[in-house]
Amino acid sequence: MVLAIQFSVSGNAYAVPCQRVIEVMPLLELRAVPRAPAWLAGVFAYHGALVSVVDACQLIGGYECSKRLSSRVAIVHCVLPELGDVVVGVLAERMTAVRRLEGTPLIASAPGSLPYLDQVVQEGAELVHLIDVEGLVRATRLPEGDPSPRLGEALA
Amino acid sequence: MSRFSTLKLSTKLSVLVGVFSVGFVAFTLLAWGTITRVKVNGPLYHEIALGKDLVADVLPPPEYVIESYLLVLNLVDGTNDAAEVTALIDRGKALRREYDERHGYWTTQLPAGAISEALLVRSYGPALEFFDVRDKEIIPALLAGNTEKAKSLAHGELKKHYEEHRRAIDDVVRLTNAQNSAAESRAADFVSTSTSSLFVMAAVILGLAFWIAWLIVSSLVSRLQRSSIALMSTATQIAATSKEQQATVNSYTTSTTEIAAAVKEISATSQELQSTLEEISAAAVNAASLAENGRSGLDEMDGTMAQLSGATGSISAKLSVIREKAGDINLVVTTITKVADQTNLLSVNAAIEAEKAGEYGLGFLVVAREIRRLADQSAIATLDIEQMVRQMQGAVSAGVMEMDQFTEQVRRGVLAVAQIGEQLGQIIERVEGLSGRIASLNEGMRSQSLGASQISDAMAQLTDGARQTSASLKEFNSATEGLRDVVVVLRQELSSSVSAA
Repeated sequence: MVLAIQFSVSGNAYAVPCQRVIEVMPLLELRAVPRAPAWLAGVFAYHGALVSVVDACQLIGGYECSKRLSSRVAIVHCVLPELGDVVVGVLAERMTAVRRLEGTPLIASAPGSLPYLDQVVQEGAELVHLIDVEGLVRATRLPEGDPSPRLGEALA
Repeated sequence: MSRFSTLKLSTKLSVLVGVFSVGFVAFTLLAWGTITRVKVNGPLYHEIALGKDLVADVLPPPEYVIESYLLVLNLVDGTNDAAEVTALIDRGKALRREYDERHGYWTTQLPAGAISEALLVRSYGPALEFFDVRDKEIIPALLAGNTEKAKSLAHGELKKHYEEHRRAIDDVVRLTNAQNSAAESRAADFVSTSTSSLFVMAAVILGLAFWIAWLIVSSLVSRLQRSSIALMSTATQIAATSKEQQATVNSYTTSTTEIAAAVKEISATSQELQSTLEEISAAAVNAASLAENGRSGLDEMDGTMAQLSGATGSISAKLSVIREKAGDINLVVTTITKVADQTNLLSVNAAIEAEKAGEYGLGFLVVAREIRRLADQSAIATLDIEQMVRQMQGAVSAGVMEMDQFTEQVRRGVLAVAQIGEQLGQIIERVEGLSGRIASLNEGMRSQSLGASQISDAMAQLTDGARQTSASLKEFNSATEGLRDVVVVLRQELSSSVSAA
């Protein structure tokens, strides 16, 4: 019984709980980060702060997100004990609908394989994979000493 | 005869001479035997003389009147019986007739001479007187019964005449014996001379015969030998020539057979060619008519193409207009899409905000969902339109491109049609010319085929003739062989006869 914004990677449905979403934005001009990993689509200024945008298609499906009107950026936030409140942009395709997930969550067949994937919810014939925002933020944190800006530092 | 014909010539000649000699010797011996047998003083002569002597010795000689004298003596001395006297008188008359008969005979037969004189003159006179005395004096005296007178007459006058007659007869006998002895000695001399000359002549004839036979054989043999040598060489030459000729004829026969086969092939080929030419001619005529049809069709097509070219031009222009309109539609659709997108985004964010508002945001959430549904519908519709317009634009672009290509193709087609029309005209001209030439060619082929078949017939006849000639030559060859064999046999015979001679 959770409201979530849905998107699609490789034809499969994923969703981010709306409680973690600040806002959904259209695809905008991103500033590329030099020598960044492929999944880091770039950074942009959001209400006076520099926010990193993670390409979910690149991260989960391994391909670059297409530039369409339905491809949008969800601004998510979470509070981590070591970093505090962190804001990250998630870029994904077909991010056009908010739906209420009412099905029973299924136990993951391989729990802990990817830290940013949460439980799977069955909605009719469709399976929707929920995204663990904290896991996502931790997994996309750049290691120490990297010249690129840290995700956490962007909000600081 | 067949065995005789196989004998050698010399043998034959020898046989001839031998047969002749044997025959001649036999003839000579037979002649000699005959002469020996029938010669005077020979056995036959002796037999005949013996018979004559026997008759002369046994019978009383009619020319000698001794029987008449004895009869008269018997009359006058012996008997008194009247019947016997009458018989004796009759007998005496018969004797007189016999004497006259014989005297007539000898008068005509005997040559004049001593014997004739003795027999016909000296013995005849006393004999006549004897018969006169007997018939005119003694027999009448007897009949008168004057036996004494008769006796004295008989022993007197009659005896005197008888004695005179007898002396003349003795002279005749003596003279005749002397003449006979002389004739016998002459005959013996003649016979011996003739016999010796017979043997001499036989020997001479035999010798001459052998000599002439040898001459004939030797001259004949030498001439025949020369002739046979010449004949032999001639026969050999003839045989060689005829063999060469036969070989020539054989090769000629094979050549003519080959030629005949070749000619037959030519004939068959030319006939095939002829039929092919006829087909070609028909095909050419057909092609000409087809080309004519094609040209008229092309003329029509030319006009159609021109019309098509104009039509494609107008279609192209209309397609350009459609493309422009599609571009306008696309702009509108893009605007609508952007609006729908914005609406969707707004509804999503409204939903998020409503969630955050909790219990108070529930109604707002419903409104947001409704807005999103509308936005989604309009977005889907615009997506559909966009897709359709895009498809239409693509189709129009493809159509324009295809129309351009089509126009180009039509233009080239028109050009090609014109060229094809021209070429078809040339083809028609050439095919029409070709048709005439094919007809003349066809005629030529027909005459050639006819000629080839005539040649073939002639070759067949020629081959026949050559075969007959070959057969004749074979016969001639065998005849020549026979001739040579004969010549060889002749030579052998001649050489053997020469060596024998």
